[in-house]
Amino acid sequence: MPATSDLDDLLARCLRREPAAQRALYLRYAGRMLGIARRYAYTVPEAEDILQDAFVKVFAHLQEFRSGGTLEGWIRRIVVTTAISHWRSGRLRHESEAQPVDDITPPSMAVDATAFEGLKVDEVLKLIELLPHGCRVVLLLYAVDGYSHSEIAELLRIQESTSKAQLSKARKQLAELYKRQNDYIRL
Amino acid sequence: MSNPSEDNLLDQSLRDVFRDYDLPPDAHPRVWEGVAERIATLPAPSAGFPYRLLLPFTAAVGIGLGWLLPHPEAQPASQAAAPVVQVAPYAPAAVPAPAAQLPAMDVSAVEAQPTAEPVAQPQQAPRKRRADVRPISAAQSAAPVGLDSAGLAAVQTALTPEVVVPTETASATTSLPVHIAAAPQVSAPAQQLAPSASAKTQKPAGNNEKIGYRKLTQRQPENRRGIGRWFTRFFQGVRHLLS
Repeated sequence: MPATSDLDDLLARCLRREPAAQRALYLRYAGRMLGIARRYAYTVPEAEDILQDAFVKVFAHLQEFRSGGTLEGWIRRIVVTTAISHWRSGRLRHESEAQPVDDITPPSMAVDATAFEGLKVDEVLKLIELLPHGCRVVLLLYAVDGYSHSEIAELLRIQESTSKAQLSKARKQLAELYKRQNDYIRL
Repeated sequence: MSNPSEDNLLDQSLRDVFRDYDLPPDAHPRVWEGVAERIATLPAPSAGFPYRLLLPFTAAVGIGLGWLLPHPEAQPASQAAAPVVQVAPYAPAAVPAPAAQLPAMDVSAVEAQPTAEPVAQPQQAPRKRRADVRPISAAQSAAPVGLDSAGLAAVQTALTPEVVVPTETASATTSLPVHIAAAPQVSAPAQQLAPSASAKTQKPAGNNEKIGYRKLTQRQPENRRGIGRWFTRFFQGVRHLLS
């Protein structure tokens, strides 16, 4: 409860445009939000650009935040939306797009569903970055951030069936990439 | 990987990997510098639109516009521009002899006075006009009897122009004493009194002022557009809704 009252006080001060409060709010959520931005970006500087734009939006529209949801969830959605707009505007560079992955993964090559638990975050990130960007964004939105297919379709301005197809394709390609990596490590 | 349960497990493992993934903001100071620089140029936050006042404001505007629209009951009042027609109903059907205003009158003379039944005219003046009739003073009562009928008619016409007496009574009136002849109900011969047009023309100026005053008192409540009228209507509407 004190944390809630502290947050309310911090929000009230941010609404009064107090720089110290704004900085405190930024420091409170910037680490987690930079991690989210990093998932959608390919490099840390790109993630920083996303984070900067997202926090400018947060402070510009802070009076529109309603206490019905959590502030972290509200900021998270802003970060994701900002990352999607960066991707649409072409500001995100996909260096590995020239290396297509085989679309068809044989059933015998299916990976263990819990295989990623033994990997570090950076390793999983490297695997995900190898996916085509459309598949990657749909996978992150659906599997990690919990968006539904209808929300993804609205956010990316695509059909729901396209979103489902992209997700299926992303899973298969991720399994193939993981298999190749394991084979490479064994060799 | 086509099994939905396996897909769910894969998604769950991805969520677990990224659950606690964060990057320390202190390692990226330029981000906050950029944010602080950009939010400093943002315009001051406005109070926002007061949605709670939207409904009362809309109601007030609606009532105000409705009040500005022409009212159906205001049209007859505006059409009643001719004051004579409006004044006519106030006139009595017959003008009785104001006995109280008569000076000391001889009873025998009164009995000898012919019964000059006054004929009501449609253009008779309102009852207040009788205040203009002044009884003849004692000095006038002592005036010599030798008044010709024309002079007497002129005096009486000025007194009660509405009352018309038959012609045969005029001659009898001349034989009466002066104080009787000055009685207000006795008037000039009929041929000297124009029936309606002369009555209109002989209306004193004070009568017109009265008519104008009456028009104002009738129309004033309809044309009042003050805040009092608005409150009256508003509370009437509220009372109607509550009932």
